[in-house]
Amino acid sequence: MTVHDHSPKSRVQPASAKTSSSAELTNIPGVMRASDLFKIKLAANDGPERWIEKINGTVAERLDAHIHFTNPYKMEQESKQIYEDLLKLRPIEREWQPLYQLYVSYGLLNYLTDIAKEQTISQELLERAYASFLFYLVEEAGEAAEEIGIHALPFQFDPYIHFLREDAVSLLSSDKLLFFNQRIDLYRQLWTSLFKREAWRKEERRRLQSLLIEKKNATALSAGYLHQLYLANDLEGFRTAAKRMPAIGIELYVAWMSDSIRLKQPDKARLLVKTIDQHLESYLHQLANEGTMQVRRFVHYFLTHIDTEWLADQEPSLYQSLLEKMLPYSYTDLSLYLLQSHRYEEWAELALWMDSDLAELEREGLKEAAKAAPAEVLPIYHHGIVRLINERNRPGYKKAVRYLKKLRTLYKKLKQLDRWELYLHQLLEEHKRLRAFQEECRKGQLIHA
Amino acid sequence: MLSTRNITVHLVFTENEQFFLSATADNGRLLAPADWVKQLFVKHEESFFGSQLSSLSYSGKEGVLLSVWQWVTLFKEAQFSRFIRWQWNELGDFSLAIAPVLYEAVTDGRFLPEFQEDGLTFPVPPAVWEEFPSDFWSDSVTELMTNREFTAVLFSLCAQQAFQQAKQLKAEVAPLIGGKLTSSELNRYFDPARWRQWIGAETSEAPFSVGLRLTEPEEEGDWKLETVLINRKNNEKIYPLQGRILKSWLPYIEEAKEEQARWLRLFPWLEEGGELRSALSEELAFTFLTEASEKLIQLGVPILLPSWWETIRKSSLSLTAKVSSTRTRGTSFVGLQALVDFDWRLSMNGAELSEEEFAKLADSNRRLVKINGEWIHLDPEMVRKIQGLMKEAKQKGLRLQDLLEQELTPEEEAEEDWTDPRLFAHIQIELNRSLKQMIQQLQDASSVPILSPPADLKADLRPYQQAGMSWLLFLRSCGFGAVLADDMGLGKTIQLISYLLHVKKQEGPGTPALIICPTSVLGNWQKELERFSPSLTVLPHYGSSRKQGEAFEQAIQGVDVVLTTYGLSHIDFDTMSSIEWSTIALDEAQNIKNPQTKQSRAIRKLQGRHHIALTGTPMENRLAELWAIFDFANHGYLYNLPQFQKQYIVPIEKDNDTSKVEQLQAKIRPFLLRRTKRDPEVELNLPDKLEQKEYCPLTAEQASLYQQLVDETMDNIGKLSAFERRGLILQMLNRLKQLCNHPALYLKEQEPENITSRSEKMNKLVELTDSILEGQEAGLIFTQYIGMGEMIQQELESRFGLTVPFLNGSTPKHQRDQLVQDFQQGKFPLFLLSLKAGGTGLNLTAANHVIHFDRWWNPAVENQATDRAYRIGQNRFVHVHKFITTGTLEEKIDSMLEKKQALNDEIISSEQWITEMNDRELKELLQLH
Repeated sequence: MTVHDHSPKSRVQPASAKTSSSAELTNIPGVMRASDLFKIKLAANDGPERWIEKINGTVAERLDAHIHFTNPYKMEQESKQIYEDLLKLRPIEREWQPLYQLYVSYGLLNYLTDIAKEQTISQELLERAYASFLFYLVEEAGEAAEEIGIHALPFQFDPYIHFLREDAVSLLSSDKLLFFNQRIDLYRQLWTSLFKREAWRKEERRRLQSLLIEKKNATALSAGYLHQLYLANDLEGFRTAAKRMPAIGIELYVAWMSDSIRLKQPDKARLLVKTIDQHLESYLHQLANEGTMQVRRFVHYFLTHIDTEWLADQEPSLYQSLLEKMLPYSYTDLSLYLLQSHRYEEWAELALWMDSDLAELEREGLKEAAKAAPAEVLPIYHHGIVRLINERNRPGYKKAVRYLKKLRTLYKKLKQLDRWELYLHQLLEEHKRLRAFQEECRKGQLIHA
Repeated sequence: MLSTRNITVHLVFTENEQFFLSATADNGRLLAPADWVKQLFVKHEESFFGSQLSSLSYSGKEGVLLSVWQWVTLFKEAQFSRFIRWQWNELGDFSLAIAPVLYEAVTDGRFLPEFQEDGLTFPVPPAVWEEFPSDFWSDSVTELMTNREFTAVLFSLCAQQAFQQAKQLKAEVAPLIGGKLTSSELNRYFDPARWRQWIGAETSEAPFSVGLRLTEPEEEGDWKLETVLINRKNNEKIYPLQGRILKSWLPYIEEAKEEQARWLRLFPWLEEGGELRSALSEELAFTFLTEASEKLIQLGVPILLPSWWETIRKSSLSLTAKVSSTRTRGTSFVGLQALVDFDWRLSMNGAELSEEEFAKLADSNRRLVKINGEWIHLDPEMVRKIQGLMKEAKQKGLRLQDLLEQELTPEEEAEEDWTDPRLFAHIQIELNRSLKQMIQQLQDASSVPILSPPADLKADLRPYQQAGMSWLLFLRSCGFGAVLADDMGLGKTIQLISYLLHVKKQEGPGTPALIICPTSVLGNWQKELERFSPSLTVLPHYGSSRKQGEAFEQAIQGVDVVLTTYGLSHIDFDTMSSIEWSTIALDEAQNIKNPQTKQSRAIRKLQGRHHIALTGTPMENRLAELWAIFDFANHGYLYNLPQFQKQYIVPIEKDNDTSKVEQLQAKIRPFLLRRTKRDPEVELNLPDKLEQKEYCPLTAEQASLYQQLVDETMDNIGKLSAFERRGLILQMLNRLKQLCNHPALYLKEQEPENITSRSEKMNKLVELTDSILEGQEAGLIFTQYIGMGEMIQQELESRFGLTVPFLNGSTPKHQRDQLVQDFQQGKFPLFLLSLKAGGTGLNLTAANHVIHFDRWWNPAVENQATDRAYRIGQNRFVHVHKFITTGTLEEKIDSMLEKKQALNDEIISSEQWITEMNDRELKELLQLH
C-alpha cells in the first residue's frame, strides 16, 4: 500500500522507519510497489513491439498531457525525467543497452511528436518549447545508433533493427507537421550510422521514390530521399533531385556537406557546396525575415562547419561566392580571404562597401594592401579623408591631414604626382573656408605657408 | 555599411547639359549619395573615385551631377563595385551602350574639330554612327531629341570637356583657342592626320621635322624663304627640301610635302605657282617675321629666322628727355607744376638717333633698317605714337612733377603699352646737377640743412623740432607742400610757430598765414601763439563779430596769422578765398579726410603760397584720407581721385599689391614727415614729462548758464554777512567748476543726453582717447566729481566698447588693488580715478598719458596725481593734459597760479584766498571773457 506514503504523518517519520514498514509488504510474494513496477528491467528478448509498448505505456502514464496545454515549457523537464527513468529500465546485458537507448529516444521522440500534433496551441510555441529537448533526443539516438553501427550487428538484433528500419519512414510522414528538422535529423542518423546495408538502402530508396510519386511536395520525404541518394553516392541523382525538390532547409545541405568533408569525400562536398551556393541567397533572404540575428547565427554556424581552407584551396570562386552571399556577416572571412589571395582590388571594393573608417581598415589590412597595390586603395583613402573633413572638427582635420600625407605617398609611388597636385588643389579650393583645416594642412606641410 | 546589395541608378540629362544621377534600393527607397557614390565611382579616377563630387538636390531627389566628360569616363568601362547588383533606368542602359563608343572616338582623336571663335566644335565621326543600327539612332531616350541628335550633343560636349579636363596633358589645344590664330586659319591648317599628331594620339615616324627658314639678303634685295628638314636627333643638321636628301629620309618626304601644303593653305600669300614662294620682298619678309612666324611657331612648326630677330623683337625704342643745364623754362622754378627745359634723345639696341634722323626714318616708312650694320625694326604704329608723344611733350612741357615721379618711384617693369595716360611714363629723363641735389634732399629729410631757431621764439626747440622747422622751410623754398604727421605731443604747434616766425622774418610783411583748426583747439592755438611768439599779431576769425569781405581785408592789414575753424573756412569761403595766403596750415588735417564733402573741397580750393597739413594720426592705411590731405598740400600730385583710385586704392586695398604700396610710399615720402615717440632721435630729445594745457571753449549752453549763475551770485553777495558771503562764494566756485566740466553735471541731470556735443572738454577727451588707443598707449583720467567720472565712464564705454573702471572713494581696498594690478598688466587702457581716491599711494606707471579733466587750484595735489604715472618704473615719457575752459575762472586762476609761483603754497593750497577777494576782484575773476 502506498497510502501512508501520502499521509502527512509519514513525512515526519524517520527514513529508517519508512523502509522497515514497506519492507513488510514487499516481503509478501507477488506484491510490489507501483513505482517498482517501472523498475522492472526489460528483457533483451521481449521483442521490439513490447519495447515500444512499454515505452509508450510508461510515457503515457507519467506524462501529464495537460502540461502541453498549460505550460509547454514544463514539458522539457518532465520528459527528461521520464527519459532518464526509462533508461534505468535498460536490459542488464551490456550489448543491448545502446539498442535500448535508441529505442527509448526514438520512442519518446515519436510519442512527443504525435501528441504535439493534437495540440491546439500555436505550432511556433511548441517548436520553441520542444526544440532543444527533441534535438537532445536526436543526439542520444544518434550516439546510440553510432555505437551500435560500429560493430557488426548481432543476430539477435535483427527483429529490432528490422522494426526500426520499417518504422523510421514514419519520421518522414507528412502527417507529422512539427519538428521537421529533428525528425529528418534522426532519420538521417539512423540511415547513416545504423542501416548500412546496401540492399536496405536500395529498398528504402525505392520505397521513398514510390511514396514521392504519390505525394507531391512532401518536403520531409524529399529530404529523406536526398539523404538516400547521398548515402548511395549517387551524385548525379542527387543533383537532379535537389533541383526538382521543394526547398528543403539549407541546414541539411550543410550537414551533408560537413559530413562529406569529415569523411573526406571531396566530390560530394563540392556538389553540396554548389547546391548550397544555389540556395543560399533565397534562404538567407527568408531567414532575414526572422531577424538579422538568425542570419548572423547561421553564417557563423556555416562558416564553422565548412572546411574553409579546403574550400578556399579547391573551389576558390565557390568559396568567394558563398562569402559574398553571406555579406555582411561573412565580412571578416571575405576580407581576410581576399587579402590572403592578394585580391586587393576586390578587397578595396569590399572595404568601400563596408564603409568602415580608415583607422579600422588600417587594422584590417589597409596598410598591407596599400603596400602591395597602391592604385587599388586610392578610393578608400579619398573617401575616408572626405569623411574626416566632414566631421568639421580639429581632430578630424588632423587625421585627414595624416591620411592625405599617406595618399601623397601613394600617388608618388604610382608616379602620378600631377594627379595628386590636382586633387590637393581641388580639395583646398573646396574647403578654403575651413580655416582650421587649412591650418592643419599647413602644419602638416601639405601646403607651404 | 550599405544595407542593400541591389541598387538601381536613375540618370537624367539636365537642361544644363549635365547628367544627374540618383539611386534607389530594391524597395524603391531613395538612397543617400553617401551610400552609393563610392560604390558606383569606385574606378572613376576623374572624380577621385567620387570623393570630389558633391551631392545636390534635383527635382527633389538627392544625387550627384556629372559633366558629360565625367559621365563618359564613368560608363566607358562600366566598372562599378562588384558587391552591388546594379540596375539602370533607360538612360542608364543607353549610357552603358554609347559611352564606350564615344570615349574611344574622343580619345583616339580620329576626328577633326571645327575651330570657332570661342572654341572648338566636334562633329561626330562616322565610326560612331556605324556602331549601332539605324533604329537605335531614331529611337529616343530623352524627351526632346532622337538618340542621333542626343549623341551629337554628347560627343561635342565630351570632346570639349576632354580637352579642358586633360589640359595638363594636352596643353597644346589651349593656346590655339584665343591664341594668335583665327578660327578660320586653324580650320585651314588642320587635317585629321595633323590633328591626331597634335593631340598626341599619333607620332610621326619621320626622322626629321619640317620647318621654314628665312634668310636675310646680303645687301639690298629680296629675302629667301625655304622649307627645311631638321634632323630630329641633331637639330643642327638642316637640309633644304629642294636640295639633296638622305636616302633613308626619302620614304617620309611625302609628310614634309603635306605639311608644306598645309602652310600654303594657312597663308595663301606664301604660295607661288603651287609651290612655296622662295623670294620675299622686304614687306612680305616683315610680315613673315612678325605675324606668320609667330603663328607657325604656335602650331609647332620650327622656324629658323636670322638670329638678330629675337633681340630686335624684344627691344624697343627708348626715348630720353635730357634736362638742359639752364634748368628752367618760363619765369619761376617753384612748385610741382614748374616746367623744365629738355632735349630729346632716341636710342635702340645701343644705336643712338638724333631727333632729325628719327624723323627722317619715320618718313621713309620702312620697317627694317640697317643702321651701323645693325638691323633695326621700326613698327610704324609705334613710330607714329612716339612722334605724337614728342610733339605733345614739347607743347605741354616737362613738369617737375613728372620728373619727380620718375625719380622717386621704384622702377616699374618696362611695359610695351604706349597708351599710358601719364605722358612721360615711357620717357627716360636725364637730370642736371641742381635737380639731382634737390631730389636727393627730398628723398632724405636729414640732408636738409638745419636752420637756427628764430630769435623771436619764446621757447627752446628740441633738435628734432628744429629739423622739422627746417624741413618745412626747405619745402617752402621748393614750392612743395608739406605734411607734418608727428605723433601727438611732439610739438607740431611749436614747429609751425617757429616756421611762421622764420617766414615772417625772411619774406617780410605780405599777406598773413592762415591756420585752420577744429573749434576745440582754437583756444589752444591762440594761447600758444601768444606764449611762444608774442611778436606775431594774431587775428582770430570766429564768433559772430568776425569780419567779411573788404572789412576783412582791412582787418588783416599788418596781421601775421589768421586763425579760424574748418566750419568757418567753408562758410566764409568767399572771404577766405579772395586772399592769396602766405601760408595755409591745417591743424588736425584729418578733418578734410572725406574728399567729397563741401568742407573738404572748399578748403582744398584755398590759395596759399605754401600749404602745410598737420596731423597726428598716421594715414598710410587710409588711402582716401591720404589723397585728400595730399591734394591739399600738393594739389594734383596724386592725380585726381578717380585716377588715384585706379592706380593705387584698388590694387592696394583689393589685390594687396605690395609693390604698389612701396611705390606710393616712395612717392609721398619726400613730402611727409612723421616722427614717433619711439624714434630714437626723438626719444633722446624728449623730456621725461610734458605738460600741456588743453584749452576748451565753453559751449553756448555752458556760457549762458555760467553768466546766469555769476550774475545771480553777484546780485546777492552784497546783502550777506561776511561768513555767509564766504559760504556762498565757495559754493559758487564749486558749481562753476562743475559747469565748466559739463552742463549736465551742473544741472544734475539723471540721464544726460548728447554728452560730447555739450562740452568741449568731453569732446577733447574723446579725441585724446582716440589717439591713445590708436597708439596702443594707456592713460589715467582724473576728476574730482563722481558724477563727472560716471558720465565719462559711460561715454567712453559706449563709444569705444571699452571697460573703463572708475576708482573712487567707495571702491573697496581689495578691488582697488586688483584694478591697479590689471591696469599695470595692460588689461584695460584707460583708468578713471577720482582725484582724492587715486591721488596718492598708487603705482600706475603703465600709463603714459595723464588727463586732468578739471583743476584743483593746488599744483601740489595735481602733481601728486600726475606722479601716479610719472615715477620710478616709468620708461616712457609722460604726457600730461590739463583741461582748461577758456574765458572762465579756470583759465584765470590758472594764469594766476602761473604768475604766483613764488607765492607761498599755503596761500593757494585751498580756495580760501578767493573768498577773501573784494567784490570787484571777484567780479573780474568770474566774468566771462
